[in-house]
Amino acid sequence: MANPIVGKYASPTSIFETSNIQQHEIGTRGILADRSFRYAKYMVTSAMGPNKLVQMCPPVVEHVNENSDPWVAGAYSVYFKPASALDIQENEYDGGYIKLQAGTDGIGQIRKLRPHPFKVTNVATTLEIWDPVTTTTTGSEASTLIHNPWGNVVVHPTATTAPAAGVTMVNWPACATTTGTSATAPLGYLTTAFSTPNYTYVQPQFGWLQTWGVCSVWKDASTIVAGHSFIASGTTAGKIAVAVQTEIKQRIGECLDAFATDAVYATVFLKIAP
Amino acid sequence: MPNPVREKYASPISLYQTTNVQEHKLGTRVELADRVFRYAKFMDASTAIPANNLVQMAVPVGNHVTQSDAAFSVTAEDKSVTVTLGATVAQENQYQDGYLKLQSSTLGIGQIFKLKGHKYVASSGSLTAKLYDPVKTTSSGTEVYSLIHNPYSGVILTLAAALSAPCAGVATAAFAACSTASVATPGYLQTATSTWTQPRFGWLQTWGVASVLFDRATNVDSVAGHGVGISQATAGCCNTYIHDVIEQVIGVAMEVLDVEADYLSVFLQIAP
Repeated sequence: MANPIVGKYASPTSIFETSNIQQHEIGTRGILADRSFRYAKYMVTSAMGPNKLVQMCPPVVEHVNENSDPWVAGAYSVYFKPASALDIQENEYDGGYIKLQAGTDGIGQIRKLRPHPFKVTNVATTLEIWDPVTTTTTGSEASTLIHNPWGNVVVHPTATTAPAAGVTMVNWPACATTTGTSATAPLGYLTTAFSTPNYTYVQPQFGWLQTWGVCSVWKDASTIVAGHSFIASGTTAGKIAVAVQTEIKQRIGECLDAFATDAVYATVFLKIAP
Repeated sequence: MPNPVREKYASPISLYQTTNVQEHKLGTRVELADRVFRYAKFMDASTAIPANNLVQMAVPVGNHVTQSDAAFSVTAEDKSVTVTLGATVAQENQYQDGYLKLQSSTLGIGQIFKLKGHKYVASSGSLTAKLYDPVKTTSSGTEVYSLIHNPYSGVILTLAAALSAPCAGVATAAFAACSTASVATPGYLQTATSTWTQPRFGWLQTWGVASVLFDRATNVDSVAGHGVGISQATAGCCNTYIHDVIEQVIGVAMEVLDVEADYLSVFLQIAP
């Protein structure tokens, strides 16, 4: 019952467990009769409790709108150079996207990224893409890296920095971390940073986030009314709040009950991704 | 990879191409792991659709909606209908897989029928189309009807004007302006008395991460996690949603963007 259906078969991972072993592609949709879930990756070294609102990974400033070499029609790889101050973690953008944001010809193209190794700060690199480039680019090209919507998710912060990704069904434990001098991470870990002479490795957690249907979600002190919409709380990370008319924040679903108590769990019909 | 999956099989049409041959029914839904697409028909001979631009559904035809038709009558179990058009032609198959809605009458009001293909009909002529499902209730009284396009038939680049139809999706490939001929030509559809137009078919992205041309000038910078709407100042563009309007929200911004005519990362939420 608690193992969602992926295609024709039940997932080996229940909605009430997480695992250090990846069982599905990130973003895979799993369903139970009236609820939908997405398979997510978590890389944070503090825990994420059950029934909390989760946000997609915020864009990394140093990976947005960076100078790029031309994209060449037919190529299965593209150039990217992260700005100073931040590396690209191993597989941080696996299943994510690269978008040509500025240029003359070929602007607007977006391609899905393949797995990639750890990339050092401010060093030009190439990233492999699933589909070939359609149009050779010209002009002053700038590219942006975009995380997979369910890759490197975080507890929804009080200041929204990305769309909502879903709701946890179970406690996601803090990811284990260790260090070493090899750029290649120990088995099951991903290389996430480098500070001479050590690399940092993090062991990812994988599991399901609920994205559609009836759900229990931690709420703040705002008074809820059945049938009204919810948004992310601006006062406590991981909570939801009643939407107000003058907000243009993402609506994450509608309320199924009515009360005003703070820090209790509201019944929500989630509408993040069906 | 670029050929989306329908049921068990990959479509013969990649996300990055359009064709003049129809491979699927209009509106067919296909998906890649985290993105959804719909199959659409484009019939515009003057304005092309560039890739990564917003596309809207066909604009309702004033003389085909809320039309009082004294000659209209349907009987329960009928499998075709005939309506008298107002003073605008109906292009060949303009309403194929679209709908006829009985908007006002005495009996049978509110019924909506899905239409099969039909011929070109001159202005104020009679349009006859077969139905997918038989009529449920015999109608009576003064009949007022509306013809409704299939949401993915006759799509166009969103207009630099007040909204006139919902957003249908984002073009993942450029749709070139359609070719025309002055005589009947195989693969072309009659669109005027002496004009035949060659349709183009392809995919529109309707859900998931997309790159969309951004109009910053008329509203404000995008804000991650905030709504994205349709620009009414620049064709094909999205912009930051403003809370005091009730227009369609097409998705959620994934980043802050403060540059005019750049491409915004949007988590589309048009049709899952």
